[in-house]
Amino acid sequence: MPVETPLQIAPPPERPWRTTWRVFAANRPALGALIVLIGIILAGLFGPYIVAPNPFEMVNVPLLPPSEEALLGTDFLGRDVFTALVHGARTTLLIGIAATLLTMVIGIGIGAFAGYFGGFVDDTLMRVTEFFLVLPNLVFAMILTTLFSPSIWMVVFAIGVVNWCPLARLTRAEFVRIKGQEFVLAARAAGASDMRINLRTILPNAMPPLIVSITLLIGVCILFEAALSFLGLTDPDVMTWGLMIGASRDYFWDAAWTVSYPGLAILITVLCIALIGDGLNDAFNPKLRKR
Amino acid sequence: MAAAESPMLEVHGLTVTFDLQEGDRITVLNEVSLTVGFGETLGVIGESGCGKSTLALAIMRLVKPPTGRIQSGTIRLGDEDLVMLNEAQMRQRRGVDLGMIFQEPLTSLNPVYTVGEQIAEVLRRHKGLTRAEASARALDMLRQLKLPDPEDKLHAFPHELSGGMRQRVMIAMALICSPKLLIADEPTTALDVTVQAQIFDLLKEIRPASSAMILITHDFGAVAEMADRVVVMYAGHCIERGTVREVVTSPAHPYTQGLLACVPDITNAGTYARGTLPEVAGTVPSLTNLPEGCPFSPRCDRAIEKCTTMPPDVPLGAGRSVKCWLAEVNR
Repeated sequence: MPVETPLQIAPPPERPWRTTWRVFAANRPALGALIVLIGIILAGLFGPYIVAPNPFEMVNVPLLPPSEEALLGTDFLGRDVFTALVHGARTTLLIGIAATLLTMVIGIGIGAFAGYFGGFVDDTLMRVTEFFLVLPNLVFAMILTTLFSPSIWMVVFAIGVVNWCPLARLTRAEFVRIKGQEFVLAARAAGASDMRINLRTILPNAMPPLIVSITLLIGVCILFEAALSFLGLTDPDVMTWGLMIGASRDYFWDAAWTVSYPGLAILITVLCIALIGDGLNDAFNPKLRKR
Repeated sequence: MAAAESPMLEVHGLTVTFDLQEGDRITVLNEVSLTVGFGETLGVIGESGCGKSTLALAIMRLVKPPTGRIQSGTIRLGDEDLVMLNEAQMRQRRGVDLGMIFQEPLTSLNPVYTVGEQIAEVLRRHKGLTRAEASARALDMLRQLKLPDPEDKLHAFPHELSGGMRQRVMIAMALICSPKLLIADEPTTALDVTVQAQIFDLLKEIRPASSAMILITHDFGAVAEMADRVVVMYAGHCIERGTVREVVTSPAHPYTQGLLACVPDITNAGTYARGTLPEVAGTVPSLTNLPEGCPFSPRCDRAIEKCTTMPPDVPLGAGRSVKCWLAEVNR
């Protein structure tokens, strides 16, 4: 991962972030996906202020097909699908990102500790990781959400707690690989502390595979949230895409728009994130940079 | 030549062991003693696996528990014993008082940072300079090291540089804080011969005049060119020491004699049998299975009965000694 601040004595040929951006932008699918995702994020951020403020309000005839009155139709209670979709974008992205951040903190933290210090620390942390890994993810998340009050943050917590294991193992593997390399010894010979070596020397070198993994993780978290709200285990007062699909699942054959639009929204969002992850992987790899 | 009475670095009786998986313990450095004076260069020469690199890491206190351990000995830099310092104190010495250059310049540089950032990093950490000041100093250093287009190279990533340029960057990182002691662990092994000469010239030219340097190598040519004094190592022991001239012209230890006989001599190239070069017969003994007494005795064609016990350091004059029974007998 490059450091963004330019050096100041001579104008550099190209700032590191610009190089990263140029390589990323050359990847057309990734660039397209980024534009679409920014659209979805903007919709989630500002959309709720533009469309009707309450997505649960019954505004029209039930099961109205997409038409001029209701852009994407209404569901079985006469709630506007488009309004719900916009409100759902906010929740879905918020939960997806928050859960990913939590997963990252737990996964990278534990993986880095285990990989860097090795020995007893490594053994203990990896056994803990394996313990979490053998629990069926969805069942575990369901248990966590049903045990406590079904709030958004409980969902974030549940998703984070069940998904960090693969990331921890990947981080550990990368740290073990990188810490044996000579530049780590050289950094230590130049007086760097353990903390600095972890964060500044090893972590940036471990980033390319982690970035791919993390972007895919956002997708996984969004899917998890959809699954939990489909099962009705999230806050029923907060509109999400999964909740829309779950609520209208009986009407699929009669009113496909009630289920397919939120489903499509999930698909497009997760796909965009995956494509961006691919683009970032290329852009952050210094060996693919051409100056 | 520097005064031997007040050395910059004095290593005394340094013993380093490594624990192996099966519970065995090998002694990689055995009672190693050496001194390096102000402004002096000490060559440390020996075959692969004789403990040269471990010596460098031990002086930097980078031999890490739980497997590697400094069992005994002192490493005095100036007035303080580095063995007695804790890790936090040691961190303050590394990079400031102690600089180190590694063998393979590509793998010793962090691939994700530009060389300017890596050199400046050392300054910012130890001297508390701002980013701009540190960059300016880094640029200055690259200029002194005669890197072409230093402004441009400051923003280059390590993989964009040639081997010689990378090694100059390593030198810049090691010397940027003007260390008291510079340890160069085979600094030119990975480079070709012409670049090797440039690197040696730069090392002579740029290093602070009062600093001490340890040059670790297996190349007698490098020692002859760079060093004032030399220590010959074999299987973790210092077996011979003296000025470069003394050791090269009149080697006292059979191993040193054998090593020097191996240096091809262009003036009597005709004396070599077709396609063969002289060698020291046999191989370095495994550290897990060292012979009784002198570790070189199984390969030594002049071994005597006494060689099954460890020979003492036999003094042969000021700063000159050899660890061999033959010298003791002949004295």
